[in-house]
Amino acid sequence: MPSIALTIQIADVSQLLASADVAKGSLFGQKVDPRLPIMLYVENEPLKKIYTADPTYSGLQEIADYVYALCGRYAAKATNIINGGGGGSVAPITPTQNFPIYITSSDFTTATFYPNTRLFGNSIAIFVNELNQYFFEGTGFTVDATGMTVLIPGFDASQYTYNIIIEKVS
Amino acid sequence: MPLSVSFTATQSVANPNQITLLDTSTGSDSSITVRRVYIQTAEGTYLTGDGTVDYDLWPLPLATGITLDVLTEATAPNVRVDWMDNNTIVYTDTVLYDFDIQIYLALIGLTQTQLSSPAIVQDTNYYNNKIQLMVNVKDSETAVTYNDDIYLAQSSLDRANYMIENSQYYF
Repeated sequence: MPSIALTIQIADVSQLLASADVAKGSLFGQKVDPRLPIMLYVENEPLKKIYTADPTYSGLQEIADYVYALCGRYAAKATNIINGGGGGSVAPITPTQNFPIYITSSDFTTATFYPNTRLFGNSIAIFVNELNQYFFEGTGFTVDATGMTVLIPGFDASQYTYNIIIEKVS
Repeated sequence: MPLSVSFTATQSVANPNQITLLDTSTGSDSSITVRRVYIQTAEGTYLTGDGTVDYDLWPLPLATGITLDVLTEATAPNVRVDWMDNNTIVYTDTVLYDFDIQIYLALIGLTQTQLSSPAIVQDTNYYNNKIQLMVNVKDSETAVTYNDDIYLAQSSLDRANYMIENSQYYF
C-alpha cells in the first residue's frame, strides 16, 4: 500500500476521475457507483485534515489503506497522473510550404529580407521578373530559419518594385 | 523597530481540548510587561483556564508559547491577545478560529468502525448522515475563512456537535 501522503493524493485524483465517469451517465459511460466520488471525499478529507495536523496520529495508515481500496480501479490511473503521466501529448503539426510562391516588394520587411520560416530546408530558386533571370541559393540569395535574404547587387525592395517567383528545384 | 503584533492558535489532535498559542510578532517594545488571552465564544462567554477571570495570562518573553485546556467540543471563538504595559493595552489582535478537530476525529472514528463492521455503510441514511456531518464542518470552515462570521461558524459546528453527541441515532 502507498504512504498516507500519496494515498491522499491518489484519492483526490480518483475522486475526480470517478466524478467524470459518473457525469457520463450510466448508459454510455463506464459503470461506476454514483456514490463513489462522495464516498472518497467523505473518507479522504478527515484523513487529510488529521494527517496534516498530526502525521503521527494512531491508526491513520489503516484509514489510508481503506481509502486506497475505495479508489479501486482508479488508483492506478491516479498514480500515473500524479507521477506526471496524465493527459498525454499531441505532436505538433509542422506547417508545410507549397510552391511556387509569388511575392512582391511589399512582402519584404527590409530592402533585401523576405520573412518566411517555412523556406528553410527546401532547395529553391527564385525568378525575378523585373530582371528576367533565375537566381540560385548561395549566389542570388541565402535562406535561414527566419527567411530569405537577397544577395543580388543593387536589389532594394524598399525602393523598387519586384515580382518574384520562388520555386522548389528538387 | 516597533512591535508588529500577531499570533497563531493551533488545536491539538492528541488532546483536542487544548489549543496552543504562539506569538509571531516581529520587532520589540520594552514597554510590554504582560500578555492576556481572551477566548470568546459566539454566545459571548469566555473560555479560560481557571474561570475566575475572562482571560488567561500569557507570560513573557514573546517567544514563549502557551497551551490552554479550554475546549469541551468543536468551537469557533474569537481569540484576542492584548500586549499590555501593566494594565494598559498597547497592542491587540483578534482572530476568528475554527477549532473543529473533534469533528474530524469523529469522522475518522466512523471510518474505523466501517473497517471493523463493513456492513454499517448499508444502514439506512448512514452515508447521508456522514456526508451531512462533513458538510457541517466544511460550512464552519467556510464561515471563518470567507465570511469571518462567528455565528455562522458556530451554528454549523453546533449541528455537527449535535450529530456526534447523538451519534446513536445517526450512525
